[in-house]
Amino acid sequence: MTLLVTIVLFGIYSAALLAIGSVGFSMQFGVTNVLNLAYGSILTSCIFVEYWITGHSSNVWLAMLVGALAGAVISFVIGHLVIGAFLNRGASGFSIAMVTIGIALMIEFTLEAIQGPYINTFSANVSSAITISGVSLGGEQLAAIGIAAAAMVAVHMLLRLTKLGLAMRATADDVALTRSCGISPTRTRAVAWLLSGALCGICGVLLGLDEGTFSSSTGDAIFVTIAAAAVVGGIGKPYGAMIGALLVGLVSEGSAAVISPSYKSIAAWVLLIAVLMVRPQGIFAEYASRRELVA
Amino acid sequence: MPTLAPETVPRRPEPLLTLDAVASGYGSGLIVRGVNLQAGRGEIVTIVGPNGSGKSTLLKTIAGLVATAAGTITHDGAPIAGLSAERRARRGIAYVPQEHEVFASLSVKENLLLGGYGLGRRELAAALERVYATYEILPKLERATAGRLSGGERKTLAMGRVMMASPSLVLLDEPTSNLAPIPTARLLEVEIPALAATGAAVVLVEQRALQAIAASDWVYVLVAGEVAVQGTPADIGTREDIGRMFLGGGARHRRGEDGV
Amino acid sequence: MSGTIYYISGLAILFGINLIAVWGLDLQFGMTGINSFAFIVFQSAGAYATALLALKPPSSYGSFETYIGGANLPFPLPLIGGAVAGGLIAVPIGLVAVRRLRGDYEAMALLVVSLIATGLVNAQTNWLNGPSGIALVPQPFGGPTVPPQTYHWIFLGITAVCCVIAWWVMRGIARAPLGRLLRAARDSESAASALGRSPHRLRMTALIVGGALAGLSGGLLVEYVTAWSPASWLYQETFLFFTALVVGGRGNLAGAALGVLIVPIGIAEATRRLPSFGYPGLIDSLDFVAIGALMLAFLWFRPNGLLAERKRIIRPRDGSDPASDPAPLGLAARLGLRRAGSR
Repeated sequence: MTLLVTIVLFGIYSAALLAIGSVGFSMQFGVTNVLNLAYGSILTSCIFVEYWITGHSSNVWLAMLVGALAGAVISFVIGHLVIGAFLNRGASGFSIAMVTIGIALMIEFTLEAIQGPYINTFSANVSSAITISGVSLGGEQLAAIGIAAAAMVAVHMLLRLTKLGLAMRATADDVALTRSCGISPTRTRAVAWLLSGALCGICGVLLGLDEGTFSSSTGDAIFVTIAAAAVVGGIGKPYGAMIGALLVGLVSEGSAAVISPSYKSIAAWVLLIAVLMVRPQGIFAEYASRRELVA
Repeated sequence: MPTLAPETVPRRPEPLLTLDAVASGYGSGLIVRGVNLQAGRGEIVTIVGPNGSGKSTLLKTIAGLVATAAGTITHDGAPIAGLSAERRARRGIAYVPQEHEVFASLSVKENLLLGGYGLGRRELAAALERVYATYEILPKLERATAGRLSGGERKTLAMGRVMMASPSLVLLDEPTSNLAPIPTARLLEVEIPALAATGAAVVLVEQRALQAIAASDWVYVLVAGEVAVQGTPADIGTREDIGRMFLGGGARHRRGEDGV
Repeated sequence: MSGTIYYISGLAILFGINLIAVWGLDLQFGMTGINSFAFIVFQSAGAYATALLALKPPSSYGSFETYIGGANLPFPLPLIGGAVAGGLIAVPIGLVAVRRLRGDYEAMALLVVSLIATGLVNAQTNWLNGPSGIALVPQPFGGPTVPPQTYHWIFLGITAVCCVIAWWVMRGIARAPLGRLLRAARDSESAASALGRSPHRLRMTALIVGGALAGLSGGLLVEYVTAWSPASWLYQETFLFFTALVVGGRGNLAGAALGVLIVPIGIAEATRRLPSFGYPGLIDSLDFVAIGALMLAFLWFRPNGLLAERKRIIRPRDGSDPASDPAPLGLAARLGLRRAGSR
């Protein structure tokens, strides 16, 4: 019983953190059609920026604000300016994948060059706030779940209730048709890069505070788990990413509890590969997007 | 370019759209090679031609989705060949592709709202009301996901979306493909003429040549990226060499015969 | 002076080892178009297999490391085993790669496969000694009595022989109908199908042969450096090989060689001789920053690399003009002809 409660509680908690990152990743892929393999390094750099600016401050809100701003700026520069320039030259999907990995390496190793191969530590104090069947969740963890829920609601309202959100969903659906409606995809793409960067930053800061430690390669493993959640839910579909995050969170915590903690991430990654092999459009995708995911 | 004897040239409206020696294509190859074409307000212009003759590419070139390699395109008195597709759309050029003519993942109402994206809040409500009144089936389907509609409903939705912005020029790429006979007839004989009656120039590309020719005011026959023949439906319908053009052979080969 | 010769002969060995791997990648990626982002796994499989075949059982070393096996086979059997392991690991990886996902999707899937492999080796410490890795791998013809410089010459000889074998394999494939089929499958899957070959089988063939070359390269590497751990085969190393190929030029053997000279040797290895500054590993970090920048620069300014793949015009053996007499040409040849003309 305690095992099950542990899996579910920590699964939800992991899912909440993951969902912030994977919704951003998925939405950006949907609108821009770029598989951004540098997402993890953006996440890492947000943690670093946050660490440098607010230092050891335990104010979660300030940290999140800094992380979100840093993420939005970095993501915009990388995605909209650099990758956008390569896209304007007609670079292939694979070239773009190379470009994003090249950028990821440059960021990761620049951070390592600045900081050294050391592990940084946040001085966060974890307190127990609620206890269910002997399993405790800390106040920060509850706050993180709340922040994730608020972020999801905000994304939902943007996509469903605003003209900009409608234009973004239209761009994700069909670029040519969107242009024929007089909407510039450049603008919706710019917004997608900004927004996904901000979500990435929030996700990174929350994860960094949660783990307590981070290094220049922190984002690598987290990125693949984020991508797993996005792909399971149907990449390009922000709502799918929320469900995908929940599934991946439960699978990770489940395998961590049942097999061994070292399998926490591996289980999520295997799930990613399995979904890609069987149903590349994602488990929950109702309509295959116009763009082909299978060559 | 074959021309008809002067006394038989019928009066065409003042051109809203003029293509002068337009060439375009993908990559280095040209698919459209020097097309001259006009369409006036309220006129239904049909482009027919064999498969691969460049009809769809021509339409995309006018819409701005394929870059113009050479020549000029004039819309409403201004050159537009250098404008992006979205800028052309904002000028009142609407385009309905052959496939993927609606945003499949969005609802019917969202599709229509996107059609009127440039409108203010009040204009948008009025446009929605007008389109709902014209296409009575759409308000009933308002909340349905566009991808789930039947082929005929999708075409209607696409027409409705285009109507939202009250365009001056409507480009339709094979609107009757995948349509059953009754919706085809309704589209060609009712909906498109209604569109033209609002004062819009309608340029459509059609495979079902005979039916479309009958419903149009002016016809261009495109062969191998060039206009082989143009004329009124009556002229085109009586020409004996039309069938041969559709069956193939190069435009060059035929040009000699066209001197008749 | 002797230090310089030692250093240069060491670089020559590493050049040969990397060259074999990059040729293997060229077969998979350059010629066949598989976005082989799990490439380092092939090399690593070869390295681990060679190590396990060359080592004695763990108990002989007082169980200071744990691993499966320890066959203590004589040279060159461990190397052959490494190549076989590289080819065999292509089969499970191939299940992902033949799925033919969109290019960037395929790259991500294979990248994740690579991470899963690293994760498994780290998690299962009893298989391959986990994160600490395997050490004390015996060197062929080596031992405490052989002076280091002499051993460098011996190992350079072994590497050169392996390079010649790899060159012979690559040359053979490039000239054989298989090479044209692989290119056909890369450029147009339907073209390959039209030639009566399953594109899946062609891609799998390229993965296996390329994987075997990578395995051989890994085997040599582990015998040269005598140790192998998960830190030796991070996903960045795959990117290093890709950068070599993009810089040098895909689809030709010389381009790969030039790329290896510039990227893994010129940037990654040669800089280790620089006077060290900063904390340990700072130069390595800067190397990777430079490699990422180099990749971006080449994709921007010279996406076909320094030595671009030749356009292939296939002529009949008698040297007559194929255009005037297409009859003796097979469909494959005509296909090649059309490709050359259409570019």
